[in-house]
Amino acid sequence: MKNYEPFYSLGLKVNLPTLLFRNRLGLYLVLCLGISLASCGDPSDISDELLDGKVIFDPSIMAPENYLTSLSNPNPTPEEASRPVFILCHGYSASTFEWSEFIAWSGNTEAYYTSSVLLGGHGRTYEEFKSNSWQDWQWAIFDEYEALLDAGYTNINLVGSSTGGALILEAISSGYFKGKTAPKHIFMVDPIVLPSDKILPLIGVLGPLIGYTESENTDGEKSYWYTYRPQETLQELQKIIKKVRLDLQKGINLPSQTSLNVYKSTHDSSADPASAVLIYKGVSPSNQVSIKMIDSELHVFTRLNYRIESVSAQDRTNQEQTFQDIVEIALQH
Amino acid sequence: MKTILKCLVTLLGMILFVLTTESFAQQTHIDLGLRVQKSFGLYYENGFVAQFSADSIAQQRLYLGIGYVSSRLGSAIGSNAIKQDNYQVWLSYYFKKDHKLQPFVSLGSGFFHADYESDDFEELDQSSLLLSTSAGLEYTTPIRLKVNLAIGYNLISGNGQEGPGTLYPVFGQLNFYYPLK
Repeated sequence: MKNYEPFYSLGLKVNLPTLLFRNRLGLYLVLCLGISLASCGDPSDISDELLDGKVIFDPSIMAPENYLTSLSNPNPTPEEASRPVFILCHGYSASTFEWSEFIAWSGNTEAYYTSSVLLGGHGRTYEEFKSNSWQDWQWAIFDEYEALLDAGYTNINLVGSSTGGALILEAISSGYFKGKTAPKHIFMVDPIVLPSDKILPLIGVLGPLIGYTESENTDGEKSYWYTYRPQETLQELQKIIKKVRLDLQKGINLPSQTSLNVYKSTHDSSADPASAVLIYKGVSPSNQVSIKMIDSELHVFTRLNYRIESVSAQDRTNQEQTFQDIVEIALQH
Repeated sequence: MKTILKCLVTLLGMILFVLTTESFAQQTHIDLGLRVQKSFGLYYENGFVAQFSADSIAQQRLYLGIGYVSSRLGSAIGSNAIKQDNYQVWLSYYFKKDHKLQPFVSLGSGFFHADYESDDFEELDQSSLLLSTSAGLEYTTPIRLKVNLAIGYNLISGNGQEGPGTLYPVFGQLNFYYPLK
């Protein structure tokens, strides 16, 4: 039962019969309110084909040793421990699938390792997704980072797409890496600091009225991305990107041996391209920061499978060049 | 959509021209003031404003305003916020002119420019036409200072695909006007 007590604190005195029957505007308002309240809450029927349901889960939950280097190779030799490890962090409402093309592209290489992290609360049911905060999302990254350090790995690199990038920026800003071996390189693909949907900052007001939003996923995407986005999670998304924006406004200092490499689509309907400008202005020292604007209309342009948009040859080139760039930087320095 | 916007801007320009010409031929009133503007979800942009009205036009209910607000005078002071400037013109119509608390509506236009400070971002839109609507309340204090609170909506804003990413749609304004004449 929802508590609507706050409405009474506005001190509105309404003659309800007059409002309902003698005033068309009043009737319209009541109708709108009725529709709004009726649309609140959670989706009534979540089918089993969706990630949101109770049947499909992210495969890393069942077999984490296939995704996390800390579990697949917990006792590395000194030579193995010095190889680069990429901790791959996906974005809001996504799953480990978002970086699966990088893992497939890497093949059975022995030059580096990949750890594909499932953000907290993700890859599970709608209810579990709804009940987790952005700090819960972030802890999954920290767990793997610390597990790798404990195992003796020394060349750790963070790779974040979309909200994964924002979570990594927050970790730097909050001083998480102080007193630890810092990541050697940080790579971000379409990090979100400014949303393209400029109504998102109003989610605190609009969210309780709408309950959730529905995204138009392709049949392929439905198993790997949430179709229904609880407004509580959108509020968490707004909280983390607002915090990162304000942190960037004050200035974020990279650890002294860490480089930051940002790849940002020039036309992105989820993470506004101006996010890259805020990172450029807000992260120092500037000689450790590299920004590359990518001619693309895709959000997280490195993921091409199951796109609703047609994938062009240019998109494939962008993906290939970015994967090569990431690996070359990590292997050369 | 763009054609409609162009027509609206042209119409606004013609009204401004007529109003300005008429105002200086009649008994005019000039208010000078300060504006505090906050985009919902982004920056404080503050600056200077002026309003003009004439006795003979709409019984002094219609005001022509011009203003300059910038994050340089707001969020960008001592921070890494993007420096962005808004050159604004607007027409306001006041209701209940004899009341202390006067509702008003406005239609505004102008020019927006954000400075991204690097050639790396030259492909991104950094400038835009402004077109906005707003509504609010104005209170005249006993010392003649007018305090004016409004909420507005930018009909043109950034959406990731086009338009400056730091031009947000919903904004609030707090204005302080002092009548000079």
